[in-house]
Amino acid sequence: MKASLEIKDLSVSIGERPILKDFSLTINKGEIHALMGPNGTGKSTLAKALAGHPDYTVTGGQALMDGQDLLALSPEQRARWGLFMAFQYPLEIEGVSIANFIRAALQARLKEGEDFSAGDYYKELYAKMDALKMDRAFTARALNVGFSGGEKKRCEVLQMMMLKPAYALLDETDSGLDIDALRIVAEGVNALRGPDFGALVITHYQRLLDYIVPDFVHVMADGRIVKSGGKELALELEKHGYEGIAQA
Amino acid sequence: MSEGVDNWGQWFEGLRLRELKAFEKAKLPDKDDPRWRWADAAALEIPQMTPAPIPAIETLVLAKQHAAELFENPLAQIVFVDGHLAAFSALPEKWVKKGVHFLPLSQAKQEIPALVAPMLFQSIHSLGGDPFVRWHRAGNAEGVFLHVPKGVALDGLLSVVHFTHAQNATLCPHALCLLEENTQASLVQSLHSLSPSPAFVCEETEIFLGKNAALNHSGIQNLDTLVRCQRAQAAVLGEGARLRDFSTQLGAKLDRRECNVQLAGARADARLFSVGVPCKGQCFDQRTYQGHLAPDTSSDLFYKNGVLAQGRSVFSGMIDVKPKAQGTAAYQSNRNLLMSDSAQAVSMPGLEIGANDVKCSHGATDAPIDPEQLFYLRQRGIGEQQARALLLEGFLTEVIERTEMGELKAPLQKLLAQKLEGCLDGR
Amino acid sequence: MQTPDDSALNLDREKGNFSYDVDYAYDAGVGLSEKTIDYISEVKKEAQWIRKFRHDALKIFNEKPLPLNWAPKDIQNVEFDKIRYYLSQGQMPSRDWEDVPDKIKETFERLGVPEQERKFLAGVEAQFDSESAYSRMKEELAKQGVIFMGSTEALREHPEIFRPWFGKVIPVDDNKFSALNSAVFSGGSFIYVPKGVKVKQPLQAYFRINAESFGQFERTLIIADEGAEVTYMEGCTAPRFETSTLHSAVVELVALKGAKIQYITVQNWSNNVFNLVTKRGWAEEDAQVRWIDCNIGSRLTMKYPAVVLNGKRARGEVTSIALANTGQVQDTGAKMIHLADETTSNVVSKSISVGTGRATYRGLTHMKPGLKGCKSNVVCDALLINTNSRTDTYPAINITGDKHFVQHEASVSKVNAEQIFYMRQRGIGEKEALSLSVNGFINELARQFPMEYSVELKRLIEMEMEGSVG
Repeated sequence: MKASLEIKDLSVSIGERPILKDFSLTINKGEIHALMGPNGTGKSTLAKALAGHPDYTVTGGQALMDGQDLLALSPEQRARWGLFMAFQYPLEIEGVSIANFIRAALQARLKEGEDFSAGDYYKELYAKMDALKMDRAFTARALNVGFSGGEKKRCEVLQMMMLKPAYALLDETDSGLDIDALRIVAEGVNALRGPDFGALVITHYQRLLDYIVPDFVHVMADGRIVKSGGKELALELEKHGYEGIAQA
Repeated sequence: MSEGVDNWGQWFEGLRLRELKAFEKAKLPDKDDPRWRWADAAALEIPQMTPAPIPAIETLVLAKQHAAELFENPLAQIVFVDGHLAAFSALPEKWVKKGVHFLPLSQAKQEIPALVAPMLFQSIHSLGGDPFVRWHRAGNAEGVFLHVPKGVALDGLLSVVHFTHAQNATLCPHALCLLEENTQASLVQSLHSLSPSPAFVCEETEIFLGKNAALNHSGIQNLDTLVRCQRAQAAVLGEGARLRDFSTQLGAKLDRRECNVQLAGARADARLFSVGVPCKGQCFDQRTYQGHLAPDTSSDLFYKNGVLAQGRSVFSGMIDVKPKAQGTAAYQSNRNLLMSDSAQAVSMPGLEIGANDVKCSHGATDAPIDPEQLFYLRQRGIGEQQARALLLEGFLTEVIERTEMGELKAPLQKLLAQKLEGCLDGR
Repeated sequence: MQTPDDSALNLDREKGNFSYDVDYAYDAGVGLSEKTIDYISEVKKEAQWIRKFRHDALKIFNEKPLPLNWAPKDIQNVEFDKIRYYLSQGQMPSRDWEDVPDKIKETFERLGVPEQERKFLAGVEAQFDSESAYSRMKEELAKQGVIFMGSTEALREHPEIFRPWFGKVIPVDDNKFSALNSAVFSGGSFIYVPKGVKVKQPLQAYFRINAESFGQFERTLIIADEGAEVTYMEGCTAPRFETSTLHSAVVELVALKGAKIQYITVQNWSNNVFNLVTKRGWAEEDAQVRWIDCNIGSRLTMKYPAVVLNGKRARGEVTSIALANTGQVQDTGAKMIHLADETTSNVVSKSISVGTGRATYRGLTHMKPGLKGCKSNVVCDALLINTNSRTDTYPAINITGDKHFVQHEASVSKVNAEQIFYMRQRGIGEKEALSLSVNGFINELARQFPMEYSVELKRLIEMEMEGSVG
């Protein structure tokens, strides 16, 4: 069994409109990949299709997580298997507190009859909130309701740290963040870094990659990867723009 | 009126007979009456009065046990089964000394008749259920009498619990609340069932708030799904008085609740909240009236229903601003979450505005669960059914939080969770 | 800001406040009976089925009670037995203004109808009491197969087109007044726009009541065949008599697959007119029906334009402005009946109450069980000018299913005193400031009327506002 998230010739449409076209990429555990490219090239589509969003139809190809077919599963099964997606626009959920929500998500991963200690749970939750410089009072607040853009993104990273996924898809987690928030969020991601964690960081800007240093950088255009390289590719992009890369 | 009465028993009997006569003359509910628009046909029927016999001692004990589990340390609690007293934990001496009365109605009629008589059955409801109110008053009306004398602020929860038990019993729970000037109290009235038997519950609640009096009032209806329920509540608010009213509808087959609020004194303020979760053939019918009779009064209504498979909710509300009530601020919002293809929600918000210096608005929305929210929860590994339940709970919790009645939050969430467990499987 | 409690408005409806003595060749007399109906049918030389339709309708009218459980109380003051149900000088409308009898021609000239026709209309129908006096449509439209004529003529000449839909969108027994109209209808416009034909300029009807104690019962049926488009406008006036006058129309619109119908009304009846009108559109797949409705005149108006959304993706809209001055009740609204998937309805209503005037919104949004993807949005705003002005809102929403989005919002406010003060500080007179403010309130909606109507609307509102400040 391969410890990787393997995407093979994946084609995805929204309604009748094809977005991803024979997209291929393998993310091994222990690796962090950055996926860059201008708006509308299909970066978010990739993340949503992998997570199983019902509006995205897979029209061809495969996605295997540690050798198992991901696409046959419901969104919650994919999540329980260890796939986490940090949303570009996290949803506001009225009346459901952060603490209860994460707890429900953790409980959903346990077997029938299993339980975990509330004391340990809060200890861990608070420790991670402290690390993300989140006020502990947030635990009682309704999930994302009335949060600023930065608070929402921190809350996404908090969930990721608590749920400890095997693979994470970070969809423009840097958008709308000031430099301090960006650093804190990046530290959260870096804390998970290790041989049992793989991540795909989707971003427009090189900026985030100063803090989350990727092992590989891919450039996307019109539904597929047009260029791959090491972290220096991101710098090159910054200098020459997407136009230059796509033509090169 | 109460001076010089030498036989109070006879006096109350006279009052009852007058109501009986009024009932016999009353025009019965009529489907062409706009106040009954879109009501279930069954809601219009007035059943035969069949009071239940006194329950067995074990039943009373069981009721007492169940009631004890409802709230943490209420200040006082009265428990009835089929309208018969099962338990009465009286107010602590401290409050009795200050002149507070919290008694079973029948006991109050005997012990302090001169206090009860002037206000009993004086409420005007007029939201369609008046024949039922007459029927209730002519029958075995039993419940609670609450009287808080001038300047007394109670600091705990007063609880009245009614259980249905006997097959086809008719119950007439009654509450009469008199809060004098500068007083404060919290009262919760709960309706539950001890056994899965059909019954008819016909309730009347009368609330009179003096100058600057503040009442937190809540009604929790968690009857068995074979029970039919018809309720009328009327509150009159004096100058600067505050009412917080919070209704929860979970049980019963058919529950019609009429809530009439008269803001009679300047600067009176009412906040009306409700959550309802009808499912599997249940219909919750809510009729409300926010009457602004005096200047600078304010009212805010916030009613939410989470309607599940084969459930039905009907909301009809009216904001009525009389020409004298300049400076009124009145709001009304009915939000329904429709959880199934067979869920039905009817909404009739209304405004009748006769003064121009006002801020008034109402809104109604019907929507399904947001698929993006559902996906977000599922992406975190929460199964679809549970995600739907969480979203529904969250939707209703928003109301509970706005009531500022913290002591009810935990018990309500427990009841709500039980309800959802029974309803959400196999939607 | 000082506003008087009871502003005795000296309303200027002078433009329409005149009448001529006309010798009517046909007069059904006062009151309503089987004989009245036979008289109308005979004068019109109608087919037997129409006569039967009328008689059946009269029975229903007589059986149906007034909707006293919800309607404004003033409706009880309609004296059905004191009304004249049919008055005309003849049944055949002229095609040329020169052939129209002098007094009638003068009437319409004073109201500016021939001028408007020259300027921007594709066709005009001018009804004087019970019958059309003038009817003309541009020749190119006739060549494209567009039919535009009065009800009597249309049912006689094109029954194959109109009969299948006649009385189908609004059944005779829909309400007491639809039954009344069905019994005694006369005049109105019947329009057929063939497949794919898009009528660029509006067709217009002008309804004039000239006689006292008269009832006008025009009947309009517009059918837009697949992909067709048409805009229809109606205007109306009547002199101010001491006695009351009744106007009770039935308007049926049929938009077949992909068709668009826009129906514009500027109602400016005098203050003695009971205006009790039933209007309903039927929209098939991808069709659009839009009612733009403005009510300024009349004593009591009860009118709730409706759209039955019968085909997938059909769209219904109501845009409505009402102004209720002292002595007036504008009881208007909208009904949206969703019977197919992915149908959309949209209602925007603004009302202004002046003096003791009363403006009411009544609405219905209904989605039948088993549908998916329907949307409905309703917004009603009311503006209250004086301390004793009054407004009511009574929407009803009945939704089944978990695949729809429905929203209703209503708000009530008064004229912003700070805004008035601000304008006055800049030297604008109080009256003018008030009318600017009110026009601002309805500006967005008024702009949706054709230019000529929009200007007229603003002028009417300015006139109505006069005298509402002391």
